[in-house]
Amino acid sequence: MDYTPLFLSLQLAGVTTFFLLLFAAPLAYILVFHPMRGITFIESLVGLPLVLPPTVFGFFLLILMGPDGVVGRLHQTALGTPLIFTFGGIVIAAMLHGIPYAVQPLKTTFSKLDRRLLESAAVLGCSRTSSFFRVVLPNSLPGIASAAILCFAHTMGEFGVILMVGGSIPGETRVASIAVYEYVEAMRYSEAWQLSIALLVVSYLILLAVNLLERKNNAA
Amino acid sequence: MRPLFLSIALLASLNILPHTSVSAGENLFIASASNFILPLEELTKAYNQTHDLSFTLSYGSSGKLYAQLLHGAPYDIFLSADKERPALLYKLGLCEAPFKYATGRVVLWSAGREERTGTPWQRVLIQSRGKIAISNTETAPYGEIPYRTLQQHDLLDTLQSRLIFGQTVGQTFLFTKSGAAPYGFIALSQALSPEGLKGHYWPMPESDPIEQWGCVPVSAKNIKESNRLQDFLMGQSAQAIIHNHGYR
Repeated sequence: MDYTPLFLSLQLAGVTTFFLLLFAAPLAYILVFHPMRGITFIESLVGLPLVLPPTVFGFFLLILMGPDGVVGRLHQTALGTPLIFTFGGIVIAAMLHGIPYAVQPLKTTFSKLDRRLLESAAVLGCSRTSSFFRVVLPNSLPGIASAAILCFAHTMGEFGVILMVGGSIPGETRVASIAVYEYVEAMRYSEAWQLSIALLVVSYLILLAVNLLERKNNAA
Repeated sequence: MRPLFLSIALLASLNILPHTSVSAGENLFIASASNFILPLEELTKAYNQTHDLSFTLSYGSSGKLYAQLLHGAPYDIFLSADKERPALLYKLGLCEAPFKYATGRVVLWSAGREERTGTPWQRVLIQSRGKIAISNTETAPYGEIPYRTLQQHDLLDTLQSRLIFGQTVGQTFLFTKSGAAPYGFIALSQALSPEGLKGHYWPMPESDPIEQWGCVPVSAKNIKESNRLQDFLMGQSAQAIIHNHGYR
């Protein structure tokens, strides 16, 4: 049995979660504490991946990330290699699709913070940037952890978008969900079973970790 | 209610329960390989001029539709893109004797402007760079055949790392059309479609012709209607339409 697709999924989920949090945390911070005019437009844009069918989202990405698309052309100019049908390509697709799964829990956590902490920081001469790093982040670690786990789990199950922009290349973009789909279609049921059971176990362990973490936080 | 709902949701998510359209009168549910979309739409229109019948069309790779039939999908006629799958269904007693309705060809296609129009397809691929789109080599005959041709011409080792895989020949066409993959192996019928004619194709005479066979499942709602459509597909007027789309 070839477990490469499973490891590929884990790798994709890990890389995506890491970069997504780097991007989502400042965004959530601005949305909660420093909303500017027209922020509702950005907020609605952030929620779009929740509403759009993955096929539609994937179709747009295929066009955008292709050699004639804006993103694809930028990547080609900057790094000299195409973006579409590569591991980097599905990371970016999964990141864009995962934005709300990171931003929503972070926003919830941030808005629960005691605003007086931030006011005191401002009075003591903390800039917005340094209060983000020195006040907001250290006080939101449990929320950041659950955002990370949610992103990770969502990316593990990513299917429709990757089907559209991945190209099912073994060892590069053929992740577990795609591999199971292909095994089922090719009627290779024993392989489909093994990979599915492995995914089931991994997913359950992730959820178990979330719940244990939550219980620990509530007790503390 | 809850368990019932759950099992329906489960079945639906496995893609075993197909969507049926509600319509008055007799309805035939056709499951067709993706390469045959365009001719089939024209054929059903032509058939409707003499018969009062509505159609529900479902497309996929031959392997996917075959697997669905094994699981009892309620198709009234199955149009595969190969010879083996209808023959297997026949052997299992799941469908009537198969019939050949078309012979298709694989071509190499590119959506962009092309200068090397006279160059053989092998040289086009070797001299080019970028991805090459091909359909799933296990479930889509339009992927199996060009893959075998690459093997036979000792091109697989050189080109393997450039291959990207569409689930059906329809997705392979999209990958190539969007320019995401500069080249793709598609059906001649797609290359001759209005969208396909905007690009350029290279014939692949070295690749085997693809015999497309169909069959009527024994579970069809109205076998008589299905057989009538089968006769129509093999008749002269339908064959003329099929040939117009690049099949033989």
